[in-house]
Amino acid sequence: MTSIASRRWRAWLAAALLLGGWGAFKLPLERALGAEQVRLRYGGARVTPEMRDLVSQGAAMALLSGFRGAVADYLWVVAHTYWEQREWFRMHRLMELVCLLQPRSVLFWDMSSWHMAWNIAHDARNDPDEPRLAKRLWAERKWIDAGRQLLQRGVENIPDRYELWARLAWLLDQRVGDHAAAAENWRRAASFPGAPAYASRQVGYQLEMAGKLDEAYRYWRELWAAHPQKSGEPFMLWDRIADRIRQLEDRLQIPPGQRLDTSGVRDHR
Amino acid sequence: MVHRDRAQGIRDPVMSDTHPIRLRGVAKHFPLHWRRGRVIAVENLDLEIRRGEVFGLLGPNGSGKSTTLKMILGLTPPTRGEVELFGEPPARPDSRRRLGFLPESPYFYRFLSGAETLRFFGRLCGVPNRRLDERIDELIALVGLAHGRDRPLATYSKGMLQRIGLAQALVHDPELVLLDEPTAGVDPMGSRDIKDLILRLKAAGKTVVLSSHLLEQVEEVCDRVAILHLGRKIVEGPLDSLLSSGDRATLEVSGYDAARTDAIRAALASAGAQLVAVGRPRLTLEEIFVREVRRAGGDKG
Amino acid sequence: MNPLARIAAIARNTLLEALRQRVLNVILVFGLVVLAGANLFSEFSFDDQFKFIKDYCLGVMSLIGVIMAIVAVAQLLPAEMEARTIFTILSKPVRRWEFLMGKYLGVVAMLLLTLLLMTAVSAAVLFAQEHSLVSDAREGLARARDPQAIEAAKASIAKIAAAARDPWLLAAVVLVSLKVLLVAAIALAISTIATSMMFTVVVTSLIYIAGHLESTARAVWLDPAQPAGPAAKVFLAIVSILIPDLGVFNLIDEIVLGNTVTIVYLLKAMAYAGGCLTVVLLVACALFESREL
Repeated sequence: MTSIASRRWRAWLAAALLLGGWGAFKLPLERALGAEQVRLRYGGARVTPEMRDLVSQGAAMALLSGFRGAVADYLWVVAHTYWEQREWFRMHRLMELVCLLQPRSVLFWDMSSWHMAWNIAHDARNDPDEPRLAKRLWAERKWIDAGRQLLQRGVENIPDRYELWARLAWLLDQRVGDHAAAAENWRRAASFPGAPAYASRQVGYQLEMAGKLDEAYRYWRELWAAHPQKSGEPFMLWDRIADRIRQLEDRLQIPPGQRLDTSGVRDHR
Repeated sequence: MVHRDRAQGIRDPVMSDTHPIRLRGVAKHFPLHWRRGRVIAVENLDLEIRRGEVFGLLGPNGSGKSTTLKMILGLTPPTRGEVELFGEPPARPDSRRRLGFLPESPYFYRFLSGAETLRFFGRLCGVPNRRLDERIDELIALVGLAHGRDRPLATYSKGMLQRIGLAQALVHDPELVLLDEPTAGVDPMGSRDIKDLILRLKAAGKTVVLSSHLLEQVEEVCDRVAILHLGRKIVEGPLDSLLSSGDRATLEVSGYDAARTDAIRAALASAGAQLVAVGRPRLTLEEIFVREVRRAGGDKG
Repeated sequence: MNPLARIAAIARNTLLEALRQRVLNVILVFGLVVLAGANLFSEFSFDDQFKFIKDYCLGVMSLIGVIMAIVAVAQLLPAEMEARTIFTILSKPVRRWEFLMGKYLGVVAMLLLTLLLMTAVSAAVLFAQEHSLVSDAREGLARARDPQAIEAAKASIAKIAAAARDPWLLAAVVLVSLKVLLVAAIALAISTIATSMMFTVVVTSLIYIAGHLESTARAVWLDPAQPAGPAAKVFLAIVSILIPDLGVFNLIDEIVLGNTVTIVYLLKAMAYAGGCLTVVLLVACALFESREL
């Protein structure tokens, strides 16, 4: 005799056993997937209460429902409205948050740091409300530094692609004037597949600008030697590299016997 | 356990063959939410439907007819007791293979045409595709729906829906047909057709169980009836014996002359009988129902 | 007669029925219109970045898909009960699980059709954006004289094409579909014990959100260093065990970002989601078996 109560009870028991059994089985799977996520640098910062306070309630809900990318994009657009209102500090805070939400996005680190180190810094330097030049220069420095710091966090999060290394190198070169550091970062950038050819050349240029002529000469010669075919690398502009090598040989007074034979090199652009 | 032999799976093939449906001590209670008690839909019901008969499950609305049919179909399990369909628990799909069901005021997928509806149910019943077209034509003709064959069911009248409902119940040529309120809301002509169809099914050797709250509508088709009231069976039996009243009989007399009634009375008296009334002595089911409800009420005191 | 034929017959009818439902059609049309509006993002789309359009399109597909899944599934059983078609069907030699799977697969077919349509619109938006960006870049290339500028312009054209036609986007679409099907299965399981459509909608939505927090709950539960009372630990354990980790679908974001996603990881994530889907469907069938009709 099967009463309804026992039938229902059996069904619930079956459901509970299924879910419980699967639950016990899925936990190690989830942990393995999670560990691999960390290893592969997937996902972003865990959403903290402070983050939730920064965004609207709706955005917080969306964040918690698997729409992290869309929320980051939305906040990015909001950050640009602050740009139009010249609300630099709010913009900075929000852009930092966006970068935290999707730390594997090249775009966010890149554009945020560019806004800090170029646009806001430029604006701070030409602030019509601040008559004292020293203060304006100090503010410019501060914003450039904010951009540099942001990019340095960026390369920590995306060390396996050339873009942010190149961006950081460019910033160090153009805004900070630290050419030695710029050369180092160009070298990192050039070591990744897909890096543009100018990254390799920038290493040499920056070393020269840093006054490290010996090192620059060595670098150019190594680059030259690493590509015996001088082909398959469009835009390497070997004629320019040959130019640099010849100029450096003159400046460093390299004996003729040790100079590079650059004859027969055509432009492979 | 009362039915220990059942629990051990010992079944009587003869019984299941002669009685396609058997209910023993069946009760169905619906618990109310928040432990406010329970509603007794059916209580202590015994039923045995015999093969080849037309059985009427009668009673007013809410007397437990539909619940009983649902339990027979395995749609809802009984709280207590045993339901057997062809000797098997009805939850098994195999026991439903030999059964056709027309639900109360049936609705189907409104966007399907009559033929598509039959095709759908035919597939569910495992009617082979090559048989299906032929079977659909037969059924459309059987229930008289030629004009509705290719129209979507959304445009059907109540009577047409009832007809397509009957057709789908018969799509796999089942030996047992359950009809929940087959004539409810159907016009007199439609009702006549449905009753004729039931008689034809009986003639073809099918077993038919029908429920109705309009007692007189089914009088002429049922062999046996059970009347339910508040979930309990208050009467069961062959229609003929139920409708005759005690030791009374109706004599059909030819050459009757009202002026000579006294002579007839005297003749009857000499035979030890009495002429009670001249007229039609048959009771209606309504009368029986009211009488039985009163008696049941009187028993309870 | 095999169960597959019965399931197919029920699924087919469910699909036809779903395609006729005004609510679902309105949601779908709304989704398609919103997707077509992704062009509005072109002004935020810098140079060769398609991130915004991709996030937007996949987000809309995900959201519309999940909403449609919940709405469509939540009304399956109530509609069948109300129309009493369920009684007619289950009085046939149809097992309950066959009926339930037929209904589910019908909705799945509808959802996949919907996702296919939305994918087509998204692809069109993406290609339109690619076309306009590439033609801009070509103009730049035509004007460029300096070899460095030519190099940059050519690289940018190649990058635009690579970003717009990233084959991994198909994997993202598959993941979105899997997520939608999983949510539909969860709604189905809930609806077998629900007494109203609203109950199914609300509970499924809550589970959906909880699914994205499952990894956090699991981390706090399993980490002995985390301060949590015994009651909290029990609660976290129940959440961790019962609720699938919908965080696996965050892989979609990584694909949009152009991160290297390994095939192995993708397959593992899909296998995990498939496992959850199977178990949830089994639970739905078990619960439906004892449902009073």
